[in-house]
Amino acid sequence: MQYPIKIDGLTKRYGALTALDGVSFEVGKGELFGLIGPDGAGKTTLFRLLTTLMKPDEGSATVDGFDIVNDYKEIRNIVGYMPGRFSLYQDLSVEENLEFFASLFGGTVKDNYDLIEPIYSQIEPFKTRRAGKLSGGMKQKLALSCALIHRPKVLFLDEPTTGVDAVSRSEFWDMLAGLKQYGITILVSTPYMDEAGRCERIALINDGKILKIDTPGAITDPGMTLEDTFIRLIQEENAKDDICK
Amino acid sequence: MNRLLYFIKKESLHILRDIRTLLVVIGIPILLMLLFGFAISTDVNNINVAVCAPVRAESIEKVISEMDNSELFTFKGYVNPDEIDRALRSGKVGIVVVFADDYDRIVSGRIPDEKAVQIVLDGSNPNVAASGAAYLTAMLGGMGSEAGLVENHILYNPQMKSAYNFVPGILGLIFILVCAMMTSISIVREKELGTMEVLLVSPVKPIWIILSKMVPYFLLSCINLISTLLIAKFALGVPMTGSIFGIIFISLTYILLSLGFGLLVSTVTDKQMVALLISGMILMLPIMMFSGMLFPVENLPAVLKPFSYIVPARWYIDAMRKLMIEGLEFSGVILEFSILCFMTVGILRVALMKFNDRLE
Repeated sequence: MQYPIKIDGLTKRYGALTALDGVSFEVGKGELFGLIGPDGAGKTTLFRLLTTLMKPDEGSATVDGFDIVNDYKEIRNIVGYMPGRFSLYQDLSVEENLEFFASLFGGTVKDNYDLIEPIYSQIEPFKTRRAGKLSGGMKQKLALSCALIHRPKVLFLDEPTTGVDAVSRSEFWDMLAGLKQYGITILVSTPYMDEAGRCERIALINDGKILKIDTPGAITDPGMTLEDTFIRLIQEENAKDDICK
Repeated sequence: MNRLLYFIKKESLHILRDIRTLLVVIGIPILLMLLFGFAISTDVNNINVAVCAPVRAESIEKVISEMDNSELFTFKGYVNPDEIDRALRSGKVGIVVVFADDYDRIVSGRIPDEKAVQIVLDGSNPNVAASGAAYLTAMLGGMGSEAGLVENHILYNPQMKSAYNFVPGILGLIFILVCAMMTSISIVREKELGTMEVLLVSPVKPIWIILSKMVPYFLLSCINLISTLLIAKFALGVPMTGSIFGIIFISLTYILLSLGFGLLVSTVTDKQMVALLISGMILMLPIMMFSGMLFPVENLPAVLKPFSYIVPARWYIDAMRKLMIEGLEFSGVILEFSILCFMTVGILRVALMKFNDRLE
């Protein structure tokens, strides 16, 4: 079976700082895969490597079978990307943003309206409003609509729920679950432990290294919360590092 | 093609939504034209003149009224010989004209080898002094003995109005400044706002981004071209006897070049402020110095002269002088036009090459 996302020993350095250190994992087709880790763990760097915005220093990865360095043009056609920062045109209206991103991929809003309908219908009443004037939750729904409008095979969502209220966050995860029926593979990152349970599988990432990959249930130590487990894993990792030194 | 149109539409919306910037961009060329054309002028006007004459002869009165009638001089009154120094020192007058005792007889040639008139000037402003003396000498020469008549015929700009000469220079400065500043922030802004990140993860080609950013600003610059040419013609009275088609054609080429330059700046910088500084401040000096806008390129020291060849404004200003003031046809500026075309293509190529389709 071919994995839509296959990562093999990806390493990325910014000068002396190693942002990603030999990261390897695979994500299956249609899977909702969560990348859980604190700020500065290397989540955004991994997203930028997989969306071909940066080149790795070591290792390789493929997205839908395409190499992230050599086949970057093909990858840019088939992925949807929602960066951590709200990155739509604030001076354009909701509708204009959506139209623009549809046209960017050579399509129209109508072509894939069925895909975004459950999400977009919630902000449609405000379609003439400028994107900059939307609330946090609405901005995020618009950004997701724009990332989906060309029916991508793989969706990359970098901390989509950061800075969004609890109700909107919960709604957002419902929407992601709803995308499963379309066979879209989703890689999503979050710093919130409570959201991990909404993913099918999660990877715990800290300091550029993957600590553990499993289903949210199996990854958690019996009788402990995911958070405690994560902290225990980080401490173990640090102890290992100390011995090496 | 459809994608490109959407792209252009999006860029146009950005411009139209920001009305304040739009007004500034349209207003600045008009303001600069009027400012340079009227206020900053090296013409000498209304120099105050005092006269020192031993006798109030009719011939002298005639000279004085002639002087007073010209827009160059204003007659302020008579002074005694011992008051000349004080009048000049106090700054009340810039020139004192001293008539000889035997003015009539000298002028009519009855006493040869004698000076009929002495001009005493305040030299603290050499520009005023030199022009004033030259005008006055010419005027007195013309009125006095026929033998001393000096024929002074100036081509192309007979009244020596500096506004004439300034207009091509200001146009050269305005277009590159306004165009380059507009486009220089356009790509950088997307980098700063983070929209570039989303834009790049799409099949978009760098050439679309460059083209779509140029088209709306090009149309906007056409408005600026029209407004500045209208001011030049009707407010500043530049003759524009040459080929109007040539003026417009070469201006549009120069505008393209300027837009391209801004985009080049935009592709290599990461901050809007830096882009603005480069396209605004750093462009200004070489244009003023090396383009012939303020002083002729021929007067540059030999070491600096080569710089003027690489300043696009120099070629544009040269061509515009020929078209607007000398009244040449387009065929007269083919060289300048070719050089500008060559530079435009070069700049756009480099901008395209420098466009980074990754984040690092």
